[in-house]
Amino acid sequence: MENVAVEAKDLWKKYKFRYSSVHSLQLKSGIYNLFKKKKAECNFYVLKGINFVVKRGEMLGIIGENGSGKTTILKLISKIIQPTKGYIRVNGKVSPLLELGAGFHPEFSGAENIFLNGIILGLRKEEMKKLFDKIVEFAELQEFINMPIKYYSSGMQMRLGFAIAIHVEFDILLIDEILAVGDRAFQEKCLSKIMDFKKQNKTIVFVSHDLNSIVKYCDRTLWIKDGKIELEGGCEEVVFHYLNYVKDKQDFDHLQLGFESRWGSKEIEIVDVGFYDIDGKKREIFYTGEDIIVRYRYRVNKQVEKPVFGMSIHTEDGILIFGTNTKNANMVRDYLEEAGVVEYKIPTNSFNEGTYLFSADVYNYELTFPYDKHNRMYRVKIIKSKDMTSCSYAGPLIVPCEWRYL
Amino acid sequence: MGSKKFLRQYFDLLIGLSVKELKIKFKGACLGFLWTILNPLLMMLVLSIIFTKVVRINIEKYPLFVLCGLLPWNFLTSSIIRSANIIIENASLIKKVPLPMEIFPLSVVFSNLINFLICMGLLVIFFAFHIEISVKLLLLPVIILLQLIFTAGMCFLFSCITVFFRDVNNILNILLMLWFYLTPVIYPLEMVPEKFYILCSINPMTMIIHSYREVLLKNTLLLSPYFFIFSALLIVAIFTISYSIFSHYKQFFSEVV
Repeated sequence: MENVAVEAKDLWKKYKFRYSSVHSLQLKSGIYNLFKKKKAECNFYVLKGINFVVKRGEMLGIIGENGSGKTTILKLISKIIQPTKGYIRVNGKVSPLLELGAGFHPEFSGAENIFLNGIILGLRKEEMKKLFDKIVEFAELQEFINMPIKYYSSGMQMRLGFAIAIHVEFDILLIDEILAVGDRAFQEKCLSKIMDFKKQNKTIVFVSHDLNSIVKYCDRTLWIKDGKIELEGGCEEVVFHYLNYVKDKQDFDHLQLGFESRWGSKEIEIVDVGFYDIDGKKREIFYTGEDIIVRYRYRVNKQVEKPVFGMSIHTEDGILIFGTNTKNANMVRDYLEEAGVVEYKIPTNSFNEGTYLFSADVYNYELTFPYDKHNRMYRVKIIKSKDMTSCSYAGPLIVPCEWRYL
Repeated sequence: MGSKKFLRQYFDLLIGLSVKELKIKFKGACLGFLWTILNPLLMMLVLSIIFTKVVRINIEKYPLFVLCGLLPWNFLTSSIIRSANIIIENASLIKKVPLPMEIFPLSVVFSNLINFLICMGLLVIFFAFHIEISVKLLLLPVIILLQLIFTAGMCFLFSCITVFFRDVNNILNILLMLWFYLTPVIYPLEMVPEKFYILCSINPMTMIIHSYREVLLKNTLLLSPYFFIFSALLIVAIFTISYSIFSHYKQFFSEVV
């Protein structure tokens, strides 16, 4: 069992709520509750029998809606709370859940808080002195470090908290949605630090609503729904099913925005997507007005009837410009050979200069189920052709527009 | 992790949090740490004026007499009042980092102990002429230890109760006031009518405060050693019960706060 970092078996967690506290503002019911023999209690099961294993050096993503029990799992791993039933075994030192500077005292300066937090996290003063400069540098708070924390912005506090948490020795890193705060640059920095840990073969458990990063970084994903594991497996697959579930519940366009990834059941697989010019040369940059040929190399893993290949184009800020498929073009075949190539041509493209994200997909005939979807995975850069350098158009498309005076 | 390293770590933590407690108290105040000494001195001044000029209690060197009671009493009450909130105040920490819950009430006790020892030290230095230097002084560490155990017990109890019953916080001040008048802080034990002896004997603070006076002041009635031993046993019993309540419920702190 040496290569298992966390093992949970039949994990249950019950919380008890007392209703009486809600009404205790009213004197009558307050006194009534005090003497009532059986208190109005509510047992709420946050986790209902969860089994999972995190291998050493693995990065596990946990997704799920709010209140589904994700944070409870992290708390159980770090032994802040005890399971009601079942057991959890942890091999190695767990990093603290110190995001947003828990345990900071507002009246103390950043420096004092660093030392205090260090002690809380089990570091000796000498060790702390060695780490101090690194922490301050990482948090980018050199000029403010002697200022009381109460004058810090929440972003600054978060940075300090994160900086301390990751500078403490650990084997298992727990991350609970910390990347949702802080500016873009700091988020990138945190992520690259997390990647460093991954390279050092540290175990990471990553709870996030940012499905993008889950797919990008995690090795495996758990989807927790109502205290149970709904699905476990490859990130893309789990995220895809999760998105489908969320989509049924609500409009989730904002979630999907900028979501670049791949999913599908893989009966037919798009193995490769290439962009070619009219001479058959592979390119990623095209001039406005050039022909663009896009080739999908596909492989059939399991024969399915009437698959439909499709394409769509988004701008970089996530606006769909166009999409079509072989069904529109009356090019659907009943069955495909085991492997092959399908291509489409965009003659004299009318894109304005900029970068465009191409999606490639293959669906069932009713377009309800993707076999393979490469969502906005291909970047194509369009630059102005030489004879157009003096022109400046607005928007993603160049629409032929003929002016005249009457 | 070896248990030795484990212990050392929590000792560091205890020191760190105690220092934090001390710092919090005086952060932002101009006179800062000076308040540790000023506070009991001002209280002594007020009580001395009232009990020597207004309500005339005929006691030799009343200021010294009252200070001997006030310092231990303040040690107890400020620890209890602070520890009643300590778990709730550290909720964000308790929910995020696995820590031994004991360190929170203990850090309160230790920070107040440091305050107390500083004041006691100054008291002994300033009033050295009036203090009886004798073998009795050797008892002082024993009394301080007993008070420490008692205060720690009370802090464990109250820090735990308030997590589940926040009402206690509201009634605490009244309770402490009642307790204050039932304890011979501002009056000598000799003034207590005989029918209240039982009440005095089940109150460990009676023995503690009286013992301080016995050790430090001249002309104090000597208590029977039986009373001393009874109170000491009572203190140990109270501590044991309080701590076992605390250690039974501490696992729920992170869920309730």
